[in-house]
Amino acid sequence: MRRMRAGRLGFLSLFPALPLLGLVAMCYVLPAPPKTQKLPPFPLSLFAQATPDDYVDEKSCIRCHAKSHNTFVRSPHAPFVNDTRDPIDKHGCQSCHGPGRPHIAHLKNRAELYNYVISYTRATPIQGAMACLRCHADTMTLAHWRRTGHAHADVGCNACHQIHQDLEDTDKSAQHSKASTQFPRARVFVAAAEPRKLLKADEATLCGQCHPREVNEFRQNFHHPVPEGRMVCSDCHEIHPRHETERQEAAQPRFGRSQLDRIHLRGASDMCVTCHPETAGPFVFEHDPVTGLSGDGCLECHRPHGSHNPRLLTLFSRGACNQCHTDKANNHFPGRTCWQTGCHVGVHGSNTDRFLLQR
Amino acid sequence: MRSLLVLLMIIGLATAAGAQEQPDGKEGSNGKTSGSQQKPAGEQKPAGNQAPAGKGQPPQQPKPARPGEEEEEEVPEEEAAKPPPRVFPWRLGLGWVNWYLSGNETKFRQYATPPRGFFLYDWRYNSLSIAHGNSGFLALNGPGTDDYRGDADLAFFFGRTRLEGWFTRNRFFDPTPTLVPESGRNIQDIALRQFLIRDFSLAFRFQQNKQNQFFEAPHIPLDQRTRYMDAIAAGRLGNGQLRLSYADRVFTDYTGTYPETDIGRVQLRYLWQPTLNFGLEGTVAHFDIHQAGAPRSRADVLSLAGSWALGPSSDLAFLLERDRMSLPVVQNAQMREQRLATLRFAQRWRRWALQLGLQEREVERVNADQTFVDVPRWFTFDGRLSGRLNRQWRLTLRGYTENLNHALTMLTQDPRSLYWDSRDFVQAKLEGGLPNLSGYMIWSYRHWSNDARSSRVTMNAFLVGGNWQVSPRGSLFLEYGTEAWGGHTDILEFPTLGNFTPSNRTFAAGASWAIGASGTLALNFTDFSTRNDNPLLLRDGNTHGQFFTLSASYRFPRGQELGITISPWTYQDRVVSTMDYDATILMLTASARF
Repeated sequence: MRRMRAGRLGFLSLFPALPLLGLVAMCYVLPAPPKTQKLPPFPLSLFAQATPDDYVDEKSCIRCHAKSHNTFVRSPHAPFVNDTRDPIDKHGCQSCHGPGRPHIAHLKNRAELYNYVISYTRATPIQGAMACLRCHADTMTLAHWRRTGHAHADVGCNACHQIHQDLEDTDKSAQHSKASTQFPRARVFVAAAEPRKLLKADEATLCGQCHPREVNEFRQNFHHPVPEGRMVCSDCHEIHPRHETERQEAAQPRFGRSQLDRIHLRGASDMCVTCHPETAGPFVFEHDPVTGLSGDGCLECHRPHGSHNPRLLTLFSRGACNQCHTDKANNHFPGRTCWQTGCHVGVHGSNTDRFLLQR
Repeated sequence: MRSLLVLLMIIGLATAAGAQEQPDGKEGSNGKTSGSQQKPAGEQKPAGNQAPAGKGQPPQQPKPARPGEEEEEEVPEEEAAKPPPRVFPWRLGLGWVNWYLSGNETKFRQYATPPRGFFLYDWRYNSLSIAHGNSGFLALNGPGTDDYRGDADLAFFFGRTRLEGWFTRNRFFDPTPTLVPESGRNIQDIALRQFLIRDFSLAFRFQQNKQNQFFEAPHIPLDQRTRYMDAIAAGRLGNGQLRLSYADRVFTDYTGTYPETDIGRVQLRYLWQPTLNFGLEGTVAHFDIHQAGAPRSRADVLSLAGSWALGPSSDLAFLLERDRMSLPVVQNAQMREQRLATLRFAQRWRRWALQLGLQEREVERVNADQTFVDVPRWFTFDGRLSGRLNRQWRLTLRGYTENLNHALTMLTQDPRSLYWDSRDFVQAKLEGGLPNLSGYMIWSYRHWSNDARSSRVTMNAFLVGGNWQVSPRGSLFLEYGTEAWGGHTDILEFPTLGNFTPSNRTFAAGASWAIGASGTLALNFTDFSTRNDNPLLLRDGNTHGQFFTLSASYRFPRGQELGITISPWTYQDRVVSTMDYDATILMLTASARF
């Protein structure tokens, strides 16, 4: 084992060097793709058509949008749009809302006004995503976004994220007003973990706006500790790839998981075995539903959000086993649970016993 | 100790990141931003993808203004000149808690351990330095108590360097009527991302997850550690993105029950995106699995995923994947290869949207000696239709049906198939209402069946809820849910499968009020109960819980805040009364910003 580890570390030290150098070189050397003459769709067209003269001094924006400016400069987003080395279309207000001069030129014409500015309350989800992904391509690209369930359901970035979020929003009545109209309603779990990453609310409240059934499952007697604030939805669900972690396939099929899901190297935060590594295997004697062969993996027996049965089981006690092993229903130690002392304690897989009687 | 060192290091970095400037409006942010904008036009880089097309030709219109939508504010110039309100970077909160608990403490602490006595409930630091492009956020909740958490999120050089870290400890119990030692979970996670050039970055992540769990005898305890690290290089290449990653996960069990398992993976992905409407991504991954004292295992993944916007309102997505496994350690039937194909189509109309999905999965099974067994195939069809019935109401219908098209060869004593032949799921959701009074109704139905064993498991669930915005300052919330489970097999003598399919109901209510500009009051009530035949008279089968929480807070003009929370909770097990508990949690908090 020691020799094996030494070998792996040696490989690891060599691993980044050559391919990374090659990648950097290619990024520098390879010519940029030829610019197509076709105009991209709105809102990218605003940037594509703009000349440097179309970008105005930020004071022109503040003249009418002082409140928005004041919240923005106190939001975590603010430092990222102030780099003088970035092109001018990645600066200040206009990096997100488009060049200011065409917008100002149409101020008197309300019908045309919003054709010359990116208003995120009016933009369609795809328009909003195109605008956000101009800078967040390192998180995901438009092609990735199009493959997500949220994209198919017309849920855009600003359905969950609030960019003009004030770190010091001290007005309780304003908070409450937001919580009930523009923002999601008051939090569903009192002790839920605080929102991060410019989310409009804590994750249980936010996700619960569209997924109330899943939130309701957390109200049951046995649940993952989301109501207690020890977990959040994104601990298991990869809403979109995060900066620092490995990406889960956006087109991940909803049904039918492979054994690789259980072996799990999609990311540190994904899937059940992150927190339950003892079930990951591989085992000498595998249990098919656990490996994922029969389709749903852990979900064959467990309800991950919450259940009225202990251990988050779909059915109570022996029922969980008897739904498949019908021949062991009431003629096989009928007075005991299947995993009671001396019985199938290695139900997730065993390294010693074919009948999973030991771990 | 390690957490403390990491915390101290991060505090130092964050303080350095944010100490240079505060966005209090007195200096910097506006002027600097403006300054950067005031470069002569000749020196400015051209904007993005400049096309020679004439101005004033918006090719696609944004949505028209919706009724009641917030209009852009227009503020008088003199108000615009006012600096933004001052930000206090530090926040410190102290609290005091008593549980007033009687009954089963292990059940009360099943998921978490609330603090007891005096505690530091919140200590955070928020800092922005817009001119230098740095930001820092630190938060520490409950240090010194049983459960605590720390978070750090730092960005330097306008986001070119990002450091994120968190650690947590959670103490909990296996819920039993007997005395068991306390279980614990510790996680430390740190991640760094560095952009070398604008479109190329390196990222590293390390996570350690330690768990020490105790169960009611004779279940043996778990004492395990998982270490995970990955390194990712990603960047733009031609008309796409290249991503190369290495990940390694080591699982160690200190009780010696499970062998040390080390899984390494190398993965290469390339996304080719020639237009905004089309993307194709290929992935190659290789897994290497080492287990102490066992032959080496391997797995290879090859996949191709794509998305194609057929039109402004039509999308097509697909995935082809092949997983090939070599697991010589496994000594019973296993799968050697899995092939997966999915196709998903989404169409949006003005008021309705439709999604249709198809999936075929086939698995090549082998015996432990690698002799071929068979190739079962599953075919899944899923759909989702959603849209507006009128201005107030929205309807969503979704469901899937999965069928096993090939009977499996069983090598067990009972040769009948152990696998579900079909799985069906349907859900209908109706939601909407008036701006101040909204609601939702969800009906879900699930049916799983195995014809060879005449086995069926069904579920009918109904959920109804609503939210009433009584006034701009107050709102009410109600929700009622019920689940009815059923089971049937060819065994009809007591106890049948149906005796192990309990049903349940939940009820939740909430209210919140804003009192003036400084106070809030919130109430929350949850009630659940289980109906269970429970033929083995086991604990946790027939339960009833009532949890009420009232919390109020008041913020003084200078930012100090006082809070009180009172939570009477009752839990009852109708079969094993030693599981019962009653608790009234009283918590007082005070915080200040400076």
